[in-house]
Amino acid sequence: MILSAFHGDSDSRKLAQDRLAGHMEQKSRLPGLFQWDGAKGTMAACLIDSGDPDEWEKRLGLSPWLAYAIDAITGSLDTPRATRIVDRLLDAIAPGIDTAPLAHVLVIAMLDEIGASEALEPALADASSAIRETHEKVMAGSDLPPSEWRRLRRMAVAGSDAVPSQEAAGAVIEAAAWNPRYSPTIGGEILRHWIHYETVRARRDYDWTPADDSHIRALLEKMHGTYIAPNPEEKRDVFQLLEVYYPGEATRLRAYIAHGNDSITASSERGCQIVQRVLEANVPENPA
Amino acid sequence: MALKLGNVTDASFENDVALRAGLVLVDFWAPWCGPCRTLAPILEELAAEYEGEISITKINADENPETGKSYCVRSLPTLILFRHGHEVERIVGAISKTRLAATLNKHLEMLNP
Repeated sequence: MILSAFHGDSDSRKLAQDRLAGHMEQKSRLPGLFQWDGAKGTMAACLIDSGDPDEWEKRLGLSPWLAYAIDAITGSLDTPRATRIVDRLLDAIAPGIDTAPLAHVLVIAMLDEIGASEALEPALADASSAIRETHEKVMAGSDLPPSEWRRLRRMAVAGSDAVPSQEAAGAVIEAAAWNPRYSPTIGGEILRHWIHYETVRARRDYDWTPADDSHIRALLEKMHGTYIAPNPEEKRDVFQLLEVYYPGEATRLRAYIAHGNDSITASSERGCQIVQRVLEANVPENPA
Repeated sequence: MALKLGNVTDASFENDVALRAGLVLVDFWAPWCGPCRTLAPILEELAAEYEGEISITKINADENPETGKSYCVRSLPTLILFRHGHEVERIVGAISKTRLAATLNKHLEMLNP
């Protein structure tokens, strides 16, 4: 079935954006991927008051992979920022285009991002190229059997297992080995793992070692054992106690956590830019 | 969308899972649990993918506390795979779709060598 974004009418996009803004004013946001509980939902579900992929297609004329992608990108962001990102992504879609094939374009873009970010070990590089080629073939019109996708997934999992040091990159490659036609969650899965991959890379560059981790854990346990366990009246938690008794370590921990949160925000923003690029690059010459 | 993902309760667990032949994957979840809501659509797709081979079902742990207690479920989401009513695999926390599929394939191959 050929989809037509917003059924060729930008007013239906505006209606969805207004519906989302209304839900956000009412604080009706839920975590997760494309979920609706009858009154509240994730960002994508709040656009249509539903978490049903069929309803998404029917109401917006968009392919469901985009609903999962939107929620994966915005999941860790505060509501005003998340709302701006959803608006930006919807505005990037020209009314009338078919967004279904763009899932393949997104997957290829994500695999290329990984390949450009680091030199993959051969087991992962081979899996990545095989999956990339398959997406290209399907985009060109080939109809591959499910067994071929299963073979690719086995290859990706074996590749990841063979290279534990590139586990985060491997998770992105594994997530890419599904046919978006039958597995629209690929839009969410690949972005979720890519954001994690980017965050892991950013943390790798930060001066924080496994020894720091163990040291802080030991101190937090000490705070609990010394001040909380023997004193039920103690109102402060272990982190507040760390601030009092080990201010240097507490400052360092706060900076590390802040860096992690900033990395997630930055990765989500970059993920949005990539999806936006994918959507905009496919604007037809004469959109409806 | 026609849902392939089943729902069990404390009352139906025995018949739907414990006494059932073959493989049954049970997702212990709760509405307030974010990772559970991330996993939900993935399980929907896998339920369709493995229809006729593995029964995939979920149980609301808040509304059905007895089953969770029986199986010592301490955090959510927890996925338990049963083979002929016996626990053969347990996954705690969110897992990727590909890794979950790999686990299901492994048990399918063991069931049908």
